Amino acid sequence: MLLLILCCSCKQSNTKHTARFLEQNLPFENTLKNATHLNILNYLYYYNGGGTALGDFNNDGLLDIYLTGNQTEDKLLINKGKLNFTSIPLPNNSSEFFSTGVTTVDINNDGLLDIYVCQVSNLLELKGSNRLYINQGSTNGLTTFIEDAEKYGLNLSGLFTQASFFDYDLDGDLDIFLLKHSVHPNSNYNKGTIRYKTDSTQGDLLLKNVNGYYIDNSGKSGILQTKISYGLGLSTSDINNDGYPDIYVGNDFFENDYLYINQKDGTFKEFNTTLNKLGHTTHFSMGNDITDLNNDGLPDILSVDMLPEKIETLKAAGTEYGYPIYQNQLRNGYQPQYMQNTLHLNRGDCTFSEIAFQSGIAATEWSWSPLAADFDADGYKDIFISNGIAGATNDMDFINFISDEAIQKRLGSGMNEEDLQLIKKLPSKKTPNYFYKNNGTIQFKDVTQEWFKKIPSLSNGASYGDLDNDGDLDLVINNVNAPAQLLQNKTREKDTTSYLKIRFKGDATNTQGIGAKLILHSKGTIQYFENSPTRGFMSSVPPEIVAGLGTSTNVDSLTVVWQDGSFQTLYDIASNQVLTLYRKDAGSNYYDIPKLPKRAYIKNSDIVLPYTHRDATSLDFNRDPLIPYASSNQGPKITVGDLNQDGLDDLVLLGAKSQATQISYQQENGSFLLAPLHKDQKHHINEDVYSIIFDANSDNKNDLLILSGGNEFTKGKPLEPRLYIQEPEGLRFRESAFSNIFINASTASAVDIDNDGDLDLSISADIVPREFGLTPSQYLFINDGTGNFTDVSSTYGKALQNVGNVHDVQWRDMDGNGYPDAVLAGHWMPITILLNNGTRLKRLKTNIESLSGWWNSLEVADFDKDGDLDIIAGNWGSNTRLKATKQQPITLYRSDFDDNGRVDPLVTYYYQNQETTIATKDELVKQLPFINKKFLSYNSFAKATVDELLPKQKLKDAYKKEVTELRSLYFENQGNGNFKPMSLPFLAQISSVFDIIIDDFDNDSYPDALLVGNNYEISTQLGRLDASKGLLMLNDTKGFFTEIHQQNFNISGPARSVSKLEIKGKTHYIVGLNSTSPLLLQKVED
Amino acid sequence: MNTFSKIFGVFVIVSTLWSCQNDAEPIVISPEHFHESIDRTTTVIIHDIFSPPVASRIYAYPSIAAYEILASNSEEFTPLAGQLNGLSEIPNAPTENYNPEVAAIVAHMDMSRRLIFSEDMLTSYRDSLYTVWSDQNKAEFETSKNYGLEVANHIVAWMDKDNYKQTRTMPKFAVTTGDESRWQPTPPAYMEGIEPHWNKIRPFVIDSASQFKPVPPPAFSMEKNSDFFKELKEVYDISQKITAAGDTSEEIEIAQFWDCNPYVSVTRGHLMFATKKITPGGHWMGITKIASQKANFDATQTMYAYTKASIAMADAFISCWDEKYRSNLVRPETLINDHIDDSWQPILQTPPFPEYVSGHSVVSGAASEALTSIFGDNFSFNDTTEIPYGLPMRNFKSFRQAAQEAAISRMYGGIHYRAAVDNGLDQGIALGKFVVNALTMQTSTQTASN
Repeated sequence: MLLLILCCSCKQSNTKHTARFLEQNLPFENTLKNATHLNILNYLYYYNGGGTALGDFNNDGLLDIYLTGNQTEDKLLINKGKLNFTSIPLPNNSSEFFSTGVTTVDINNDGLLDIYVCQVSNLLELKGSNRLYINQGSTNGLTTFIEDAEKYGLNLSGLFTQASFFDYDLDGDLDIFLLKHSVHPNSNYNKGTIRYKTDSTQGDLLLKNVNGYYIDNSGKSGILQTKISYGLGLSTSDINNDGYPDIYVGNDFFENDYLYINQKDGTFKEFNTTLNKLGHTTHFSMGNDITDLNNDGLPDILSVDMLPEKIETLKAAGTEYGYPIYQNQLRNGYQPQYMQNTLHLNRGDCTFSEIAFQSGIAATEWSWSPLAADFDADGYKDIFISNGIAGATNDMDFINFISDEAIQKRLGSGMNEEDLQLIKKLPSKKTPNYFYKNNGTIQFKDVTQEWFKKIPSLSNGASYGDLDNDGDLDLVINNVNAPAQLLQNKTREKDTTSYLKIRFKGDATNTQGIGAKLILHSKGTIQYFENSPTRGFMSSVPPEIVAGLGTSTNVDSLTVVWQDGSFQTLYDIASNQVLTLYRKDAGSNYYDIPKLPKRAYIKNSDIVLPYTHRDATSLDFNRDPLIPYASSNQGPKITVGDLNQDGLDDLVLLGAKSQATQISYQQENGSFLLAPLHKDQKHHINEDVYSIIFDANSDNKNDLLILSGGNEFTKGKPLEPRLYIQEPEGLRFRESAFSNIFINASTASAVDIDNDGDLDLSISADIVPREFGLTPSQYLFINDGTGNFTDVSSTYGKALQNVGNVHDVQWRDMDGNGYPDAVLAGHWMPITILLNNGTRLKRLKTNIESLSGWWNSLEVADFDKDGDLDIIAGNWGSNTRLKATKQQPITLYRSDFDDNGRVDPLVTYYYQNQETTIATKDELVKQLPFINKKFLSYNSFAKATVDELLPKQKLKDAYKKEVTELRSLYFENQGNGNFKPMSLPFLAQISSVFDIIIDDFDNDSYPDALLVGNNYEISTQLGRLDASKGLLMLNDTKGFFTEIHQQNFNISGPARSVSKLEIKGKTHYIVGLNSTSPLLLQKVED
Repeated sequence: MNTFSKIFGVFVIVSTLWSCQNDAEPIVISPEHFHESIDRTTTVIIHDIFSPPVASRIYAYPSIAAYEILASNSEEFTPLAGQLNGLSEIPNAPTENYNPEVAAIVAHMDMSRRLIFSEDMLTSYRDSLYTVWSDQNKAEFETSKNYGLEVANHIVAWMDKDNYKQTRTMPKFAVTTGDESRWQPTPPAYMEGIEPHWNKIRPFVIDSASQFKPVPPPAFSMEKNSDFFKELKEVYDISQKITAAGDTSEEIEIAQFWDCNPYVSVTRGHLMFATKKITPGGHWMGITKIASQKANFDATQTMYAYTKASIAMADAFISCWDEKYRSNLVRPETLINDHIDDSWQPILQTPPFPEYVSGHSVVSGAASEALTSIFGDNFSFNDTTEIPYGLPMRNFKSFRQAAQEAAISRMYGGIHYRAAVDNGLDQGIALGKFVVNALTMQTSTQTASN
């Protein structure tokens, strides 16, 4: 029997030999044993593990391995070929030294690679200082080192995590950034301004190389040195491509990550805190890596966090604060951060879109080292992420356990041996490291099983390099309480891929050419690399580049740009070779070459409107903590039209609650003059969200309709539509027009529905105030020609009245009968078409009725010029954890689950094929305390299905709605109510689309589309939708659209509307942004 | 039925008969049973981390259920039906095989079980008692137990109308303005303000939550000479002085003794957890036990004391919370960190709700009046309540002295200004006296006058 099993397993492992990586243990283990003087409860980073550095220390052409140990000696393993290693002794290498990060550098410029090891010291009983091993060369095959940190001023003590050598001032020698972590009590975040107070023991350091000695230049260079920076991740890279290296620091806990942009004068400016250039970052930032992941020549930023992928771990782990408390953290001076990996796609000009969820890499458990490199040599960089934690201190059941008073007292009064037993109760979360394959469109597939296997481990620092010189990248991983691993890459044996290996010979004071860039053109694609060894977590890669070339046999061109700007281009280089590039062969300055300007279609305008929309903090989550998003942040629409009969486009600037609506009158010279809407500003309490300029009374003068909403009021005057009629003295409020009609409005149209020559009105509502998901009434009014409107919602508009939570309507003649039909977008509903026969509206049966979405917007045009009208519709997008299909929808249940007379709106979605609530246990039990009685432990809650969690009958009888599609789509009209739904391009899905404008931006007579959006007021469990910078999609004239990646305009922020206007004969677009100033863009005419 | 079950069936019948014939002994319930039930409830309240106002509700209703049963059977005591808002008479007691003390302890345990989360922490103890009593006198036990549960149902029906469930889904407290005078979440857990709608809970005796509305706190001002700023500075100065004197100073002992914060957040790395302690209500329930034992109270007298004290405290929380979210005043920690010393931490952890008035002061004032009306003014006692939580015993000459110390402890702890302590104590005393006068619990007045 036993034999049989063994045979089976043999056989199995034989058939699995197609794995891309073969595992081999290395003779090193980072063993950690909690002791009373040092353990996970008295040193919070006790389990962070050790680092890995790869480099050829004996110049034999074979990469060697350096592994750091925390409570064990570090180990240097010399590569003897065929992946055999032998260890050599190091001076001052003691298990008493708590080593952390390791990086290589030729610090004395003798052509021999030296080693710098960071360590934790001056904490508890930990002593010592950072060590610098100077390579003494090899005699008789034995390489020797001396420890000489003091000579260079680098024998520093403190809580060091990692170092990066780089030439920030471009003076030709290598300076150093030193990353430290902190042991400051991490929940007391207080005011973020603490970050500007220098703390010499815990603050990061920037040291300048002055004739071979390192001088602290931190203070003068704008580096934040604070006790609240828990620095765990460090990369240096020329992020904005200006020739000067920048710095990215990942900080654990509440402190922001730092994006230091080199100011070219020896100083840095931190762009995340001051300019919010990143939107949001990892909350519990660990390691990071900066490299170009979408082959556009711009480095992208990858940072990892601790979001569990397994649903049970996720639901049993502590997650983000609820929305109201989260706001407090923001008010205290911190940037938005969420527990998720982040991938900041570089959009050029220091603009980034965070796309980790859409790219499929947001959740990789408790992660340490992200390494982005082309492991399968197909020309696209893949991602390896190490993870696992010996003491998962975020396990809520453990937290409850340790909260026991008796245990607390023991921990408080100095720990003894017996107390160490408590640490054993900490769940050890061993998890398999991840491999993600880049599919070429910056979307990644989890190929852990295919490329390697899913074996749980506690893995920390890792590095890649071609250890067996076969042209592909092998991996070395440092593990806690297990041998370090070497993963031999068999790609070159397995596939017929080719490669190019590049080595650098720099100048005398930077022999390894650190900071050099490589731009590789092959078959119309670009690959971009930087020679920056410090990457991932506490680790560094060799100072060389291995580029995968897929099936190409040559490279069309290769440009190397050295740190001083000099460059060299080589053409038609054969693949599968090692190429050494010399700085002395390069010349002139790459950054002096005038760049070919990219074709621009629109650009940001310099015109600034003296108006700021001020929306109050959303109270939606205070009222309904279980909802996925707020409904109180829908404005402002900025409406364009001539309101003073001077032929110029004026602007209606709507005011949020307690802010008066104003009109901005355009002057002959193109400037705008702000004026009150009305002498008597009695409606400033209204949250105005939409307006239309139209001729209500058929006198050929524009009148104005203003609508309010905002989920602030449930009824009454603040929800009445307001009609202003143009009189000789200006706009006059016609109070009687819509009295006693209360609409929490979303949109409206003035359209001649009955073809009698005057403009009728449709007014739509998105919500019933304070009743999340309930269907509000829609309205239709017929104009008698003089501006008197009759409500025909229940007759003519019967099909419209209860159609759903409408966010957008376009009235267009879809069936060619001469009457405008309604095309509607809304939440919990499909794109719906109501045909108009001149007496009533009738729902058109379509094939897209099952595509229920959180549709915010739509536009109708004949995009493919086939004579019928097609539809573009803006939805929630794909860049959150939420996914929805017909089989696995998002479901709203409205029920009084706890019989207290109040309906609780509960929203579920499918995650890993299981229906689960968006709300966490902590949020749920506040609303529904009975859940605490049923599921005492987080563990039991995590295992419960939705119908175990909540009374079955209540779920069955609940008011239900569904969402089956979250992507923004293009619907090509194929006639007879048939539409072909097509997913809009990648960048259209990275955020919610709130408005779309159709125009011929490239003047090719085909209609194009500009999409705007973002949404900040969503559940903190879902993060924040801030990735959109506005997206121009050009009509490819073949029935689809082309997205513009690097655009010459930037619409950051929560955009709500975009409208076209003319200023001095030039086409402009104005974007309404929630709670900030509007943005003006100008069309570029060529 | 197969042979085995037949035999088994006969065995059951025989054994039942056997137990029936041996049930001559009556079930004896001592005051200790009631103390034990309350102590165990306190343990679960700590474990489940109920906030102080919610805990006061968990103490009150079970006590009332037990008291109503005992008082209905007593010459000395009068039931509370008709005296508490909305409480009607409990169902008539059985006439045969009935032991009111069994019914009362059953009602108390069942009510407590319903009000907490972790039921198994109570039910195993209950079941072991049930087994003993059932063995002692099955008929008496069953009759009394069923009646006790019937009364519990009666009390639950009344309790369910107190608006507690409705307040669960009312809007959470919102901090939206930049107004510095308004409360905002405090380190280290930055919890949202708890129970912002507690003033909508139906009170037991007082007419409305605002009946004992205190005078407003000193007007907010960061001017150095303003009363408000002086009080803020006083908190800081006292704290600095105490801290300099060290952990063994009288003030620190007092502060820690009366901490009574059920959720003290502790952070170690990614690990953030709460140390759990009793609530102010729990502390005074402990004092009630000590006094009852010292006075050799029987079961009915014991429940009388618990009931009166718990009602006074429950109303005190309603009254206090009404003011907290009315004045919505910022905690000293927030202002001291922003204006005086950004690394200052109070000796006690700031609890998650607005500052004015001090909850412990109001509740201690009310509880001390209730207990004084029962045990008299100069009733000295050794307060051992905090010993299980690692704190020493303290001796008090009277309940009122204890209440005064509890009140001032909040200033020593750095979590309240003086006005909140002084006005809070006044509010609690006034409310306590009102409750004492409003309720007729003893048939003939025997207590020392207050």
